[in-house]
This record gives sequence, structure tokens and C-alpha cells, in this order.
Amino acid sequence: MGLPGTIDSSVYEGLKDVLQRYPVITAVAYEPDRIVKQFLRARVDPSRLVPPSGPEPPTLDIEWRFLENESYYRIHYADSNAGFNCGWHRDDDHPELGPVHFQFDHPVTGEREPVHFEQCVPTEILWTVLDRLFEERIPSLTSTV
Amino acid sequence: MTSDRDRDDGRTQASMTRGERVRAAARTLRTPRTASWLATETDVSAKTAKKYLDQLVEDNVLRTTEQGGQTLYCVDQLMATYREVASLQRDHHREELTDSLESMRARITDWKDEYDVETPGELRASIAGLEDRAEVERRRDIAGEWEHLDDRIPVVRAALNEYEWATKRDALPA
Repeated sequence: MGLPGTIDSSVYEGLKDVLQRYPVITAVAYEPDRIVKQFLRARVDPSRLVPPSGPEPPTLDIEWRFLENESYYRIHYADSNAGFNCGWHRDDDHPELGPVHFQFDHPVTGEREPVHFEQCVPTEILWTVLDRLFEERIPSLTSTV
Repeated sequence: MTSDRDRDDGRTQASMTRGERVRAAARTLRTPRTASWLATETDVSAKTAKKYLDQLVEDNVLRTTEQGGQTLYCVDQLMATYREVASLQRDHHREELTDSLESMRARITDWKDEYDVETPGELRASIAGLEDRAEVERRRDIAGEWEHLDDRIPVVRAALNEYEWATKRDALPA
């Protein structure tokens, strides 16, 4: 991952709260464990996706860091059943796309595009991403792979 | 009277009320902000945001500061760290915490030896001039991980320092 800045456990508690309340998410845990707390990993119920996937539960990893007042983050979804992963990243990897980009990785197709969020609060950005991921991106990406 | 902005929309109502949403967002206030700033971010009225923020101040989750006649709210980092220390003491055995601390320290020692640097900043600086993209990515990953471990080690150490005392305090009366 390699995001700059430091992690704030208090912020992770807020993000965990959002993830736990999202309908298709079945479990949320700290990785590599609750002592080190490097990032959050949510497990998704494959049968509740549109369209359904399976048998393996897809994962959603969230790492959030702060460098002074700037947020850096990766919210990344991976479905091994469908053979793709995608995510919203705010990092220094694609300066040509602006601060935040969406990326979709697949062996044959793939894309990067700039993204803009109205909000600055991490929990609100996560809500927006969860809606876009499960209501728009997964249905459309699944139909192209 | 409830304004339209305070009503839950259909989808989020099932999983998270506006109040819960404000409370979750409040945990991310690392920079002092006004109630109306958070109200705009979470799409509630300033009055609603203030109500929940004041509750969190009462609960020692947030603290306030006055600036230019306005009240600003931010996370009470000292209290957040004490809660973190207490949850490590309550949820983990001393051996688990000791092993984890040792393993974090050992990883840092390995990185120092491997790259001949003393800090994650020096490791980041060593990226300049490298052409191998995979190695650049690897050093960036390690620097990020190292910075995080530097933050976690004092918290775990604090939990271990007063572990026995905390265990006695945490015992339920018979």
C-alpha cells in the first residue's frame, strides 16, 4: 500500500462503525490483528451482491492515513470469484488524474479515472464509496468481465 | 420541529440514523471544526450536529476550543489513547502484547539492517534516484508500515507497563 502519513485508531473506529452497518457486509476486522491495527478488512456476503457472486466472500480493505491536514486512503474491493478488483485511492500514484482516482484492475480490461468527492469527512466519503461500489460499479463491471 | 434535512432517506434509515452518522463522523475530527462545518458534511442541521457533538464532549470523546467567538470540536486524543490502552489491557493477555511488541521491534531492526537507515524518513529519502519501480514501491510500503509501527509501539508499551495494576482494577467484585 505505502500511503504517506500516520494512522489514527479513533478514525478507524468511525470507519468500522460505517462498515458494520452496511447491509452486504458481514464482518469487519483489523489487519494484521487488533494490536497492530494497520488497516480494516470487511468481508462481503457474495449472495447479497447484484449480481450474486461466490463461493468466496469478496473483501474490502480500507487504509486511511493523515499527513498534517491531508487524508490519504485506499478503499479497495477484491472479488476472486469474478476475477477483478477495484478501488478508490487518494495517493501519489497518479498525479495526472488529480488527488483521487478510481481504478479497476482486470487481466484483460482495466481503467483509471479521476474522482471528486464533495465531502472531506472520512466516514462520509466511505458511505459514498460503498453506495457507488455496490449500487453502480459492481453491477456494471461484472457485466463487462 | 424536524427539518427536511434531518429526515433519514429510505436506504440509510435501515442501517444508520443521522445521529449515528454524525457520531461516526465526529470521531474523524482531527482538526478543530465548528458544528456547522460537520452539519454540512453530514447533511444535517447545525442544531442536530451540535446536539450530538456536545454529547460526545460530555462523554470525553471530543474536546472543545474557542476561536474567534466560535466553538470548535476535535477528538480528545489523550482520552482516545487511554481508551486504546485500556482495551489492549482488557482484550489481550500480557504474553500476546509482549510477543506483538517484540515482533514489531524485530521488524524495524530488520529494515534498519537491510537498508542501512535509522528512520522511515531516511528510507523514503533513499527512493530518490532509484529506477526499479518494484523496489520504489517496496520501500514506500515499508516506510508506511514502519511509521505506523512507530506509533503503535508506545501504545502497546503503555498497556504493558501498568498491565498488572489494570488487571486488578478491571476485576469484577465477587
